[in-house]
Amino acid sequence: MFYRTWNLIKKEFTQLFRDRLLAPLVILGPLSELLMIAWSSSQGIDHLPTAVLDLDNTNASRGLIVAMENTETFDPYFVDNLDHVTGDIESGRALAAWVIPRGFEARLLAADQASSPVQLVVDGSDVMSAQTAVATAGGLVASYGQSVAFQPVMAGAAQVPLDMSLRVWFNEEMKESNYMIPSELGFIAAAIVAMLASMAIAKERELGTLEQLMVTPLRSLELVIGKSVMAVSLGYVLYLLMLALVVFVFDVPMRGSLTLLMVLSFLYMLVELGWGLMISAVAKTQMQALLITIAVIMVTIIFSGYAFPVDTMPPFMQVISNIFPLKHWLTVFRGILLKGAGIQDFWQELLAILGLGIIIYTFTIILLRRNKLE
Amino acid sequence: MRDNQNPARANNHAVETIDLSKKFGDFTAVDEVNITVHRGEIFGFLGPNGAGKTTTMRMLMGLLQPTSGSATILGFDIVTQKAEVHQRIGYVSQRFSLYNDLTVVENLNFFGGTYGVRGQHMEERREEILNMAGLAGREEELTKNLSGGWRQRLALGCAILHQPELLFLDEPTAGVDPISRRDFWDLLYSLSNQGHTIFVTTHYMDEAEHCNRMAFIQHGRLVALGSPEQIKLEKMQGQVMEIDCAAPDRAMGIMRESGLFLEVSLYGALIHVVAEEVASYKPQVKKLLNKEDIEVRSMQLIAPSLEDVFIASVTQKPGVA
Repeated sequence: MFYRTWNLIKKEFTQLFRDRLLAPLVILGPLSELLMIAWSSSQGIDHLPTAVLDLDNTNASRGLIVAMENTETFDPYFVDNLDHVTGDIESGRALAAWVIPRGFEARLLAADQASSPVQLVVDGSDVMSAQTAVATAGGLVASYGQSVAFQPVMAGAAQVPLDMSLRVWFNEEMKESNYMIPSELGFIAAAIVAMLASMAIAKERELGTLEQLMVTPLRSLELVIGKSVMAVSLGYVLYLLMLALVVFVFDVPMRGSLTLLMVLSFLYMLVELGWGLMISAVAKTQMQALLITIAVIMVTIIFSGYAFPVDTMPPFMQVISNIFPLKHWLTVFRGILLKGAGIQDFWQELLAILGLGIIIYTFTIILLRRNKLE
Repeated sequence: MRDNQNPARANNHAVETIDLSKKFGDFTAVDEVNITVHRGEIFGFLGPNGAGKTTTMRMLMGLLQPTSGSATILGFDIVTQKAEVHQRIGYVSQRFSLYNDLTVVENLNFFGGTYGVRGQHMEERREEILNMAGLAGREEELTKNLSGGWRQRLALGCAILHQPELLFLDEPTAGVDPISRRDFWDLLYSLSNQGHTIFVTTHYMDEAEHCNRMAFIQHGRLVALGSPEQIKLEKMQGQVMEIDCAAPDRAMGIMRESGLFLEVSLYGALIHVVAEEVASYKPQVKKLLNKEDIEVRSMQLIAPSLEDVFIASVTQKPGVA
């Protein structure tokens, strides 16, 4: 019955806001973690030692190097042959290298040429630096190409003619950019939802009030819905707050549809809620619920590409990573946020999340039924 | 709304169990228990710890599934008609399961809402309960700041907001001071007078004497069922003699070793001994104790208390009763 559920939700919020420990922990914890990660990751990576091999030695190539230096991500120094590039990257003296081929300017200016390639080499073993280097280089090449395109010589050219060919060493398939902040955002609100849901039910069980509730007309389903509404609404509000923070304060681009992002985030949160409910079915005390949730989160962090890109994992771990909804969600989330991607770009990930959601909820329902009280 | 007047259920008992049993693996916690609780009575459910009291109660409330046998609450089956049962019962558990981080009035509102008591009716009930429990003026206090006796009355209040036909109480006065206990029982009497049926487990014998009828359970089996007077008559083998003497601890040991009595137990500083024609043992008792230099102040036949019956019942081997 709606009234009973609403009555429970009111009680949950009264308790939540009265809790001197939980409420600040739940609200301030994620925000401060986000701030710390945002600051440390946005300030830490710049002035990468960068080997530059300029085989073209023209106005265009020198212009590119100046533009590169102006980003402050790269600290270029010149080398004179390819072996030198290889040696510096391998020894770690350079974290990135640019190779500008002979004929760079000529191709840039030739109207019939589709694009003019430059090569970026990064050390993929230093993931964070490599990500930053690639992201910055991508932006740089795009804007530099545009500025060239506006020169009178290029008037009438339909396409931006500059192309960057990327070689990532030791990590061949690195794709994402702007890594940590979106990861944190995509992950933390969902973790909060799972944690709140698991602890809310465990709390009733621990204090003995669950038994009291089970002899009232309140149904198990109403109890679960009431607790879930509390967890999800709180998690969602937090999530929107952090999203605003990330976009407005930390200048993470918001290229895709905000509506799409909000709808999908909500659905994803419901999937993560399933984890919380599953834990609540087995945890007898709040402490157990908290520890199991943290254990699940740790494993999720490792497998989902939250901290380390999935592509750098051994193949069998990459296969395992597919069972974590967060892994797929991060692809969707980064896609919308950074690439302006739409459903057509990530429908496979959405299907995966949906499928995993169904599996998680099936187990949750089985466990909740079996472990209710006996 | 309430269907007390419904003729189909008018003759139903408040509780009726038929061979109700619960096994946990090989262990039989409740073994073919048959009890009937009449409407409007205070029914005491007694037994030592681990006898199966709480298990039986949990089955009756639908928290546990019986292994075999069946039971009805107010005419509704405990397995298939839980929703009907839950709407009509109240439950005060051992632990007074209130929300300690809610205020008195928030607890009442929450449980009221859970039972569907709302609006004008809820406000009236809340006032009644606050007055009844003596909590008027403390509405905004956090439950965790209430002392045991208050908290227990609030728990009772939360359980009767919806005017349940049957109220279950699981050792409601455990760990509560004597004055609060007496007050609490006064509340139970007044509820009983208002027509509520009360099913209460306890191990306080004086409380058991207050019940209209009661059941003794031991090793999961029903040992006795009836009014306190009936049970005393039927279950007490022999008579009880009270001995007042010096060094009662030592004296009790001597009485036990003598092998004269069915039962020897200590009540404060007094010794109760049980035997057929117990008065005829007076000279022997005196001689035995004097030999050990224990002064005997008095010896007299007394009416057995329920505790005597209880001890007599539980010290018998299962099946002998």
